[in-house]
Amino acid sequence: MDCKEFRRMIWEELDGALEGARLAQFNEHRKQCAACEREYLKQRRMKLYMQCFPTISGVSDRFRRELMTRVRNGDLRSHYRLNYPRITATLALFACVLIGLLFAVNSYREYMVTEKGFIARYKEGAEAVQSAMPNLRHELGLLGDKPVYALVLPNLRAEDFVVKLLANYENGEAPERLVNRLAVETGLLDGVSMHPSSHGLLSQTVIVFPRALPPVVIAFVERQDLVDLRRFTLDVVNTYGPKAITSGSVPLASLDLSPMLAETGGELEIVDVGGGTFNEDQVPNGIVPLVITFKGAQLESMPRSRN
Amino acid sequence: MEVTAAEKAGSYNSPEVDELIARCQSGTLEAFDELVARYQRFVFTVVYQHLGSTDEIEDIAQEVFLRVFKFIGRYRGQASFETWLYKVALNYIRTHQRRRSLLGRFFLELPERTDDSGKSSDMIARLSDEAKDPARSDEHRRVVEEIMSVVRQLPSMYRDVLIMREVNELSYDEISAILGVSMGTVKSRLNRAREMVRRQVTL
Repeated sequence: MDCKEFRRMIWEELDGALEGARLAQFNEHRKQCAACEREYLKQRRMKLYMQCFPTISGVSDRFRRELMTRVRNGDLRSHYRLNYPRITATLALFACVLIGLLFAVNSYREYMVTEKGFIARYKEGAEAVQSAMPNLRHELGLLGDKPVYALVLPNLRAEDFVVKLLANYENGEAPERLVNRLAVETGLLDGVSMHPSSHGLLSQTVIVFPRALPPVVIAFVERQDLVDLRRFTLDVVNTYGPKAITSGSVPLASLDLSPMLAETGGELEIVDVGGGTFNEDQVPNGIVPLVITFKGAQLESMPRSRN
Repeated sequence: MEVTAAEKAGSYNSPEVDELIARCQSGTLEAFDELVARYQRFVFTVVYQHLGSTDEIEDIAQEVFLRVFKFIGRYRGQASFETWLYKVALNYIRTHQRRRSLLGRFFLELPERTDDSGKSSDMIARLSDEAKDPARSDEHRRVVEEIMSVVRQLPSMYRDVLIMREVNELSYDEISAILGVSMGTVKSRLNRAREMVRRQVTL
């Protein structure tokens, strides 16, 4: 018998389950191996100590009297009761916090839309577009007094933008005119087909794009469209994250706007629709050009900020 | 578990226990009172050993006996009464611990204790004193307490089986019947529990 086998058999022996030849071998190994003997004695002591765990030596008669009183009175329900006032108070507090939280989120969302507080955090778009001015002017030769509006979404694919736009249109959050201006008139929806699909209880719509959409589109919009677009941009950020709108690179450097923009002889101003400097009151009446750039625009990189 | 003689006679219990149980099952309150007197120490000990504290020992023992009163009709003599009682007690202890861990003390109201006279009673301190044996040496008590604390920190599946086997000296059959698991499971849990204790205890 080796030490490993001996140690496996210690508890068998302590349980009194070892007999005959195996017990003899066990005892023989104990005599020969001091380490195993020590281990055996340790485990035997452990067993003996466990048998000395305290017990209750006596119970007061009062316990029985009390129990029998309950039995005679038919009071058999557990005395451990839920503390309903405390539970109600806790649930009420929790509900208040939840309602407050929802209210706060909704208010914050409204605040972001109305006060432009959220979008104002992302100035890089406007500044980056502005920084591209020399290049633009040089490349396009444009001098105009009518501003060009731009929305820079460097981390969002055009396809995701269209899907989100259609989803918002479906649930009534995006007006039909905005969809027409941004997706229909720009050709983003050309050849796009929608197929209803269902998986079990879930139904969804599959949108098929016949080709990759261009990373830059130019639309012509009015003041209300820009206001709607800002609101929609906020939804885009909520869905795809703030990074969708922050500009890591500037995609307007080699943009050819000449066919779309009229030369007016003034200085070309570019206003970031997603930026904090946007003011709807300053949008001129009538049609204004809007440039939207998406992820994948193969354009020169520019400094992030003029500051 | 002194059931051998009764087992030979075709029952796991002694004739007087069988007779007492039969009277309880027929609804005789005096018989139940007698049954409580006979097994209250056993139940207190089981509760104390598995719960590891005397804080709520009386309340839990009382709930256990109330369950016994309600469900004694279900005892069919397929195991000794002590085994059945152990199972009832252990089930209640587990329920109690689960409830405690889920809802905590915050949501549970402690029972208010009153006896016949309507006065509130508190025997916990006295029971706690009785749980300590003054005859033991300090060193002995220290080692026992060390092992107890290790045992109480074991996961319940190992702790229960270890206490049943090593402390209360139940047979593998009885443990298997109480826990409702196979004999192999009992043995493997026991080996694991012993190994865990062995590693943590310095003797």
